[in-house]
Amino acid sequence: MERLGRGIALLTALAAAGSSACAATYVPRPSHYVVHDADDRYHRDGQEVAVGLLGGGAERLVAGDARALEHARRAQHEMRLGWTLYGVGWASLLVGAVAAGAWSHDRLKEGAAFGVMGLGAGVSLVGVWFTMKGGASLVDAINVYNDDLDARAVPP
Amino acid sequence: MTGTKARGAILAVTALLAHSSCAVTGTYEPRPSSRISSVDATGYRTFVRDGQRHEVGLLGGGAEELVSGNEAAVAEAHAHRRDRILAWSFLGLGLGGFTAGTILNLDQRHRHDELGAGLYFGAFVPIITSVIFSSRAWHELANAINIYNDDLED
Repeated sequence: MERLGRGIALLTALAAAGSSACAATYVPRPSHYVVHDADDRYHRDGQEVAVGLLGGGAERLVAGDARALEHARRAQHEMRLGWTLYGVGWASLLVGAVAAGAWSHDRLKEGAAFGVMGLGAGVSLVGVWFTMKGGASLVDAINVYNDDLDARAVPP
Repeated sequence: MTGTKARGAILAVTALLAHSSCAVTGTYEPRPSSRISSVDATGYRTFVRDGQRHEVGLLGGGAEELVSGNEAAVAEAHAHRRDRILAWSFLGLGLGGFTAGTILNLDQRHRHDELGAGLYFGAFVPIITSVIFSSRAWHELANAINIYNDDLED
């Protein structure tokens, strides 16, 4: 069994050495389209536009297209709300855990502390859902922008 | 909690999770175009090409079909599929090591402390390797799509 453990470690080390830590990133050619690269960076008109975790930069990414801007604003709002709820949820979990430890002799108070922990877990899950919704709204903003670019280039 | 209530709660949670996983897809359907567009929150799972939806599976299935017609992009998609399979294999190996290590550590009748601890902590290596392969796989998929879209503009 010990040999098996060593074998697993050796096989893994060889496989890891055989592959570089990160694959090369293909840099998209300069284009009017909004493009998302492998390093999670956005490009537009040959320039890199950073979009933060809270959605900062989303409006700049699709600036000039009113329809896309609506989606970008929604993305920013959902991401901010999501991260806030996630933080509040985790804070409640920690406070609940500390309180449950401190009130272990009082069943009622301990029960309330576990309730706060459960509520915190629920709130942080809702937060995760909102951040994902924000990601989807950002994808919508990009697709609307790129579609409108096509529509402008080829008049019906 | 009674059995019926517990089953109800499990069903409700499952329905909520199923709904939330569907809802993370964007609401906007891109116009039919030969360009590949992502339509989900992660940006690496559901795509639209020529007005048709394409799903890329957890093992990389569907990636080659998504960029079919472009040799360089297909090569990247093929590498994506290989690395996804390797990532899951190493994850399985790591979780197997954790499980075996835990079982050996809990066995009070026979003393396997060293072996158990070795397997338990050694399991971190394949898990880290799995993360590396997973990261490479996402890079390759994004590269495949960008190569495909760039070549369309030529």
